[in-house]
Amino acid sequence: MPETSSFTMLGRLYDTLPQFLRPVEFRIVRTVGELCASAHLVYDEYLKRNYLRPHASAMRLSMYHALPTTATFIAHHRQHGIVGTISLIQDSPLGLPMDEAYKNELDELRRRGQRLAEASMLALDSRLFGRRVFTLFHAKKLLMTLRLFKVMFDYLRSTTSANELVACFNPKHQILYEFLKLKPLGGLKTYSGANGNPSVARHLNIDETKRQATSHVAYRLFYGKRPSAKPFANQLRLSPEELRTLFVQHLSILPSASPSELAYIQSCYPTYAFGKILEPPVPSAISHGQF
Amino acid sequence: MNSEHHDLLSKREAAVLKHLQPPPLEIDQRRAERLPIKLPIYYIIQGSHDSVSAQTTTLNMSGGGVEFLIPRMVSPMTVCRLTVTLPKQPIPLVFLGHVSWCRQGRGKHKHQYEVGVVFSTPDSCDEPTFACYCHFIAAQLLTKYLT
Repeated sequence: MPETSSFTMLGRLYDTLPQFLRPVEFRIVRTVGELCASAHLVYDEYLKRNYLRPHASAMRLSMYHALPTTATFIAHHRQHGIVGTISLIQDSPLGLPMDEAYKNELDELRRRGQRLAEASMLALDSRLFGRRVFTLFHAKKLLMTLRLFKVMFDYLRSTTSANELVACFNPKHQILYEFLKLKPLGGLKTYSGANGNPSVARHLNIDETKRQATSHVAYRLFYGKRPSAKPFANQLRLSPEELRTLFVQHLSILPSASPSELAYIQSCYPTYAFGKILEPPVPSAISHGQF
Repeated sequence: MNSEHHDLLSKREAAVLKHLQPPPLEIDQRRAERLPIKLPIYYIIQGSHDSVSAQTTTLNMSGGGVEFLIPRMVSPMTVCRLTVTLPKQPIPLVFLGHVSWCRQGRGKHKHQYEVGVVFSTPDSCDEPTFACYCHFIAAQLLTKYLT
């Protein structure tokens, strides 16, 4: 591309941040279709980075997503659908996904009476940005990431009793989490949840963020207005059919769960007939199980 | 159907299709946004035969580099050592980099040369220095767009 036209484009983009964000709604997932679309976005983006192995479902979901206490948040573009996502998993008898690598560190927080929630599966549609764009240097990417964090943070403060946010991620994202003042929790480890890639863990005490609300520029965004639980009232609650289609037919997550894990998931849905949900799938039903 | 009618239908179809299909995702190729930040900077630009060095003030900065004025023309790819003092940071940050471009200044700077230096980070500096700089740039971006 000639230099002048390149500069014109960049100049135009430079001025379009409000226009860029205007058609994007940051909110909780309301339908199973949105959950699948966000799981597909995570799959696509993580596959590009070799954070997971290819799978026929083309979705990245875990047993924790079958829990009614797990919430997924999306950046929903009016024309292009879901362009960003993050999930919040609350601690439960199933533990947290990062217990696999950081159980000792998390148990120490639990012993101190902290109520944990894990921020997980953050993904942005890389088609929105050029290659190798570093989040902290790029206003659009930075604001999209922080707006996703904000909606998750509002939910955490208004709807849950969690007071300690934990996360584990590839060390190359460390500077972003450090910018948000997450403190180191565990050293460098390899993690099967990230396809054997290295990971580090960090944590954030919510009361501490409150105390720094005015001094940190990102916290000023998070603490702009007292969050209300109202925007989260229509949070997705999976029906028995959706649980079966997603976690038995598409992804064999519930059939692979241990008896104790399954018993806990069942206890979260006391009125659901789990015998029917767990029936082995008919092969033809798998390919037709659309949402 | 005559060709005129055919063309008309095609245009209509194209218009309908254009209306129905979302435009392709607009990719922002900019890797780092320039910010009009004025900060003290000490530079040493090391040419093959001689070097030029001085204390000055940045014209603008981004995550990827910095722009400032120098007294003479230098060639692209000339290596540099930059010492930048961030606000509220007692210890200056040291970066290695290279000249990306150099051009004669305009207006009141017409007797000087504007130079754009690209950081050779993160390889050229230690991790805390790079992190400190990243946090500074991110805070500047947020201040620009959120206040």
